[in-house]
Amino acid sequence: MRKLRWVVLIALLLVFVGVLLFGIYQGDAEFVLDNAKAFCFT
Amino acid sequence: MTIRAPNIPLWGARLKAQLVALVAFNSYIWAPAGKYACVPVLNCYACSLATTACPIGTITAFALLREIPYYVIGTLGMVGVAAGRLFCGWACPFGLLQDLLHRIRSPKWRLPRFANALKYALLLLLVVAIPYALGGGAQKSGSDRVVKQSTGAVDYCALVCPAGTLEAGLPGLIINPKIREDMSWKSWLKLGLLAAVLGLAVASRRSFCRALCPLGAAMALTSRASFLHLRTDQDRCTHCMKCVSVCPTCARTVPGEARSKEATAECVLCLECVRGCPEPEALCAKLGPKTVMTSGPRRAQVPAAGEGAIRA
Repeated sequence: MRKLRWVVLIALLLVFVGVLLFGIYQGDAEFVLDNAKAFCFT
Repeated sequence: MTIRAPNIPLWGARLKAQLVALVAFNSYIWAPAGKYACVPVLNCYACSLATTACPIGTITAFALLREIPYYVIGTLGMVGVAAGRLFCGWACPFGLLQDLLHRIRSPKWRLPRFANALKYALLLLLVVAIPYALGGGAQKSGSDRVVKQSTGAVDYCALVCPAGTLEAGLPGLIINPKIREDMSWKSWLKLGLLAAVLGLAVASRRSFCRALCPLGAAMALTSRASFLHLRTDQDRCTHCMKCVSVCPTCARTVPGEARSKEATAECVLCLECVRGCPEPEALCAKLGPKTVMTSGPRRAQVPAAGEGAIRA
């Protein structure tokens, strides 16, 4: 049962890494940078 | 390697980590590329010094564009599964400010447990739903967000965020006379909220994190299933309740009770419970199956081998 827990957690971690990479592929990282710079009050 | 908790001054170690994080997350001059990263700490990116992008502001910007923030979801989920809310306890600059304010001598009390739910409502309404409903579905570019902000935005950053008021709003008011002239009811609301949050932090420990932080709510969604977690050995636990009394976020419940949960969404992994527990190995911090820190009696209370014989 414990092993299954770690397997599920590793799978969940990989899913989030995949979502992150998909976001980078979509160009989200550039938008995050542009948005953060545009929002800066100076 | 397992560290026996009381042998290291945890508050000192945590304070040092928080101070290092404060400098690291406000070093834009040395690390301008850092704004690509959404680090799960409440540090307003409207501040000129901010190194990283605020996840809450970024989610709001995506909601205004009516797009799914894959990048932010991936980042927060990845950190949450790996380390739970460790960043809340050890790296968040606004958490550091609250910890320092709580050291001021005053009558202390705890927020009721139901206050924890408010941050989830704020995340859902002011970070996602309302910006999504009011957003125009414009193209993804930096200037869209600025346009939305200047045309009466109704979101967490515009109405509530005390970190934004402290790190960007107040310096803006001081530096720029035009901002002072254009102060709206929102500005006064945010200044009032900042004063209330800071006042509350003096009396009630980490009250903002518990009740009003949408980033904490977002991290709590994945922190229940985290590699880094606490575990109680029910056979060794004497139910002395010290772990419950030292917990800054009221995350710990009575050990052994039916409602007691080790992997609670409110735990910021400050590890003060592990440090406070007097029973050897009754409470452990674990990274996956490996124990990284365990409770035990203070070194000063444990006589060294042969010490008694020498004194005698």
